[in-house]
Parts: sequence; C-alpha cells; structure tokens
Amino acid sequence: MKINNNPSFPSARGQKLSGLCREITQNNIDRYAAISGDDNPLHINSDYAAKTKFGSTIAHGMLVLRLVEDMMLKNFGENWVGGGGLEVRFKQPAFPGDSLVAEGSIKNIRAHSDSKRVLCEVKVKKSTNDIVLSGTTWLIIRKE
Amino acid sequence: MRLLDRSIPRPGQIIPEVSFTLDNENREGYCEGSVCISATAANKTPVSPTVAAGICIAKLSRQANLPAGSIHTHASFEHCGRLFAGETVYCSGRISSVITRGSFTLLTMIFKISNTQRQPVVHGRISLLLKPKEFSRNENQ
Repeated sequence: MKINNNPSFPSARGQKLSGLCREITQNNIDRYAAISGDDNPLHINSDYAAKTKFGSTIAHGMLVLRLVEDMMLKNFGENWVGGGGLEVRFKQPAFPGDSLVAEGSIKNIRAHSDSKRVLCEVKVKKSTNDIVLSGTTWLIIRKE
Repeated sequence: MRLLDRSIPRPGQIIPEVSFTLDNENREGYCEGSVCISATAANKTPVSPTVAAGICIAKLSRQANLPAGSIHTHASFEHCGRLFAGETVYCSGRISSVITRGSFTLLTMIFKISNTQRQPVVHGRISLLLKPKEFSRNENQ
C-alpha cells in the first residue's frame, strides 16, 4: 500500500508549511457576512463599530480562520477536507486594511496501519507581528 | 457574579435544529480566497468545513437570540466527511457553559453539522464573548 499523498506534501516533523498572505478588506468582510449570515454590526456597521472599544469594524473570527484552512488546503490538498480538525484561540481582532500572514509547521506525525495523523502548529499574525490567532490543526492522510 | 440575564441562554439549553442549503449560487464565495477546492468529477463543489461551521454558528447564534456584538474567542472542531454546494445540511447545538464576569459573558456552544443523509460531518465548540444586554440585536433593530 502507498500513502495517498503528493510527494511534495510537508512530511517531516518541524517542517514549515507553505504560508499565505492576505489583506483583510471591508469588502471581504461584507461578502463573508452575506454568505455566512453573520450580520453582527461589529463587522458590517461602521457607525456601530466606531462606538465600541475597537473603534472600527473587525473581521469575523471565522473569516480569519479561513486563512488557516486555506493554508492547510495549499499544503495538503483535499486530504484536509477528508478528515481533520483544529483548535484555535482568537487573540486579537483583525481590522480592514490589516495584512495577515498564516504560518505553520508540523509538530508531530503519527503513523497508523492505514493512515497517518499529521499535527501542525498554526498562527495568523499581522505585518506588525501581532498574533491574531494561534492553535493547532490535524488531519488524517489515508493510504490508498 | 450577577444573575444571568433572561435573554442569555442557560447552560444545557438545547438550540433548536436549523437546516439550510449550501446555496449553489454561492459557490465562488465558499471558496473565496487564494485556495479553492476544485469541483469533483461529478461537478460538485466541496464546501470547506470552516465555511460550513461559520454558517452553522451564525444560524445557531441567531436561533438562540444571542446579543449582537459578540466576538469569537476560541474555536475547535473536527470534520470527518465532505459537504457540497447545493446540499441541505442540518445544524444542531447546545449551550455548554455560560460564565459572567462584570458586564461581559463568556458563552460556549457545542455544535454539530449533519449532511443530507443525517450523518455527522462536522462537530465542535465555539466560545463567544457576549456584549452586555444593552447592545442586544433586538434592541438595536
């Protein structure tokens, strides 16, 4: 049997994942609000948000989390969709205009008879190096 | 610790199930970003677990009438199957804990997404920091 994965997949403990950069825009936030149905005024109503401690609208936590997911897709392809999970803590908000960078590395790989479980450490940070979210992800890569 | 507001759900409270269709017209939105899962041979567009979880959490929050202005502090979920655009899914939830400190409340909700065949596909939990009652969604409408 052969592991059903692309030889270019990260596969060694400590190996860095290929990262992602993305700028958060109010347009991204508005589109995500429309798709998800999360119309919290803190995200889409600038007048409301200006009166909060944040001073402006902020991105949905789940929108920021998509950077992590996109990074997993970029590195592991559809294996990510087949089975896995994540646990993250949102450390601080991301604002429109923030440039975010998703980074990660392989923390552990556990081999099983018919699959392997890959555990990654992940984070999303701003260009100022402030951490927006951090946590772990894992996925199961099955043998063919 | 003050008494909980009546408007804030109690620990153990079941949130009524919500069903929704992963609208085919939103296909591009589901995979908006730098990486898009390609359509399968059957021309089905997979919907990422994070997108599905985001929609589910938003719908359950509305169903539970959580105050507007709440922010996510923690999220964890596992996914064990695929969801596709055009598919109707079922989302259920339960409030697992509510902790109040001053005027803020930290609420944790457990959620589960099942596919059209009612097979669980995504399950997890999300913690939300709720704004005080005076910022509730209803009072701002």
